Amino acid sequence: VAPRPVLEKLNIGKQGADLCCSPVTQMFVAAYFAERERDGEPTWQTYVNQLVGLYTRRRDAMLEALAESFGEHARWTEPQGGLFVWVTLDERIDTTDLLALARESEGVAFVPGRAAFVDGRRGASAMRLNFAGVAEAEFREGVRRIGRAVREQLSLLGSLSGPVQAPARGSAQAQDDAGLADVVALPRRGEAPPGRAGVNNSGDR
Amino acid sequence: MSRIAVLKGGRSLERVVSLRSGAHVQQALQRLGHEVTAIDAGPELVEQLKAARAEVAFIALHGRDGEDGTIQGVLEAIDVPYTGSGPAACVCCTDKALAKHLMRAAAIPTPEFRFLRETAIKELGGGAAVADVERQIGFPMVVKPAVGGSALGVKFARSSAQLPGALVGALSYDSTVVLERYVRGRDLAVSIVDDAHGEPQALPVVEAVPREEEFYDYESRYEIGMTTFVCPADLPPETTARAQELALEVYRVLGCRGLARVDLMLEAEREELWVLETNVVPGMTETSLLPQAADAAGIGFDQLVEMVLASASARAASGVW
Repeated sequence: VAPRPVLEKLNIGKQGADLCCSPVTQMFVAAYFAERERDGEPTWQTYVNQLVGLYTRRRDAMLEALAESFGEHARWTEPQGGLFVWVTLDERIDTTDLLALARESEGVAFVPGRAAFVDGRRGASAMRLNFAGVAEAEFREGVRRIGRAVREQLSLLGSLSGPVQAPARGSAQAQDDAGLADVVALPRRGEAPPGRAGVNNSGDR
Repeated sequence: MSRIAVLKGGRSLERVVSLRSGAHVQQALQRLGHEVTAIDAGPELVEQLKAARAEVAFIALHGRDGEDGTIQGVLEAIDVPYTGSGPAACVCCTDKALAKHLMRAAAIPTPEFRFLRETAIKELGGGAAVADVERQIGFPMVVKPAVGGSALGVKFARSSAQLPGALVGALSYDSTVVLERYVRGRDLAVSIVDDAHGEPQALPVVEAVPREEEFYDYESRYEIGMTTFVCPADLPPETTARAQELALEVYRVLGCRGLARVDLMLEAEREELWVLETNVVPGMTETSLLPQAADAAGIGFDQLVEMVLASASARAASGVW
């Protein structure tokens, strides 16, 4: 999966860390990968297929929940893999502050975008939402609550500075986030890589 | 020897610091020969205090509950003497809008400010008043949640365009915000401890020096590791004296007791001192400012803890809360 020079470095790092895996562990892994279903398909493949189905359904549910609760107030990635959606709000909203409000008034938490950047400053108006780890009903409720907190802040912004515009593509912030989406939106195996990654301006949809 | 409950932890954003403060105080009290029970303030607090048959509570809870009068109210209800300030002083110091009004009324210099409530913005058209505040205070401006023990939610606005975002950010932490003139200069802190006669004594001044001089980056000044502390601060004697005098005045005006830390700014060029805020439960960790200042005054940590403890005993003896 990784380019050879990277693999070599990883190998050296791993050997340095644990002096190679124990033979017993290696035997477990070898046995697992050798196992097959009745129809001859490798067990691991069946498992991966199940996960792909599950995560696809959950991703679709998450995107639907976002459209319902965030609507035109945000834009978000349409991930082609992975476990997360990257949501970007009005650039005047700092999601670290939004988290404090959401936790206190809605009893819901999420990962603010700053946590995804080494400098801890970029990604200030973004958040990372996981659609893989919890049941659909739970994250739908979570998104609903975050949506309420977002609308609360947007309404305050509106009272302070007039109607709030949907986050526009092309601002410095948006470009940063689009760059990040490029990194997370990996092509599926056997598919041509996507062009520009799936950052959606919901206004276009 | 007394049976002492050290209250620490709790649910505030400063829980981690509080656990360290509490552990440090606990060790000192044990060295001093007291019978100590450490309590992580939670739903069982009152039961634990009763079970420990605590004669005195040493409050090492920072921020919410510990500093805003909540714990003090509980302790008075169950008649357990405690260290530090009473509920009224706690409320005054915790609410920056209230503290600044009280300071201004007492002619203590505090940077020019206005305050706005969320309800005023939402329901009374207060948003339209923001432009007036801009004219009165000017930029750069610091926007802070009125209540909030840590630097979270403290925003810096350089221009009108940045102000709505700063206000909404600060309002995420509290329903009242203080808009304050930004004072550029040196960060000073004066800690105060009551002596054996119950008279407040100002300790040597501590200066917080940001490692990287980012004049416009207010938030980074509060990031751990971004600041070094100098004690006693390198100041002309008259400035030190004035800072201590101001801190003592604030301590009296706000009704503090036992111990407190007053944060000030020494404005660049004008060389003027401004009081920002007062902390009624200052940090008591190995690296906290109050123990450092006490150390510079020749007061070791154990002695400091004993002095703070005496404030609780004095309160119990006098019957005055």
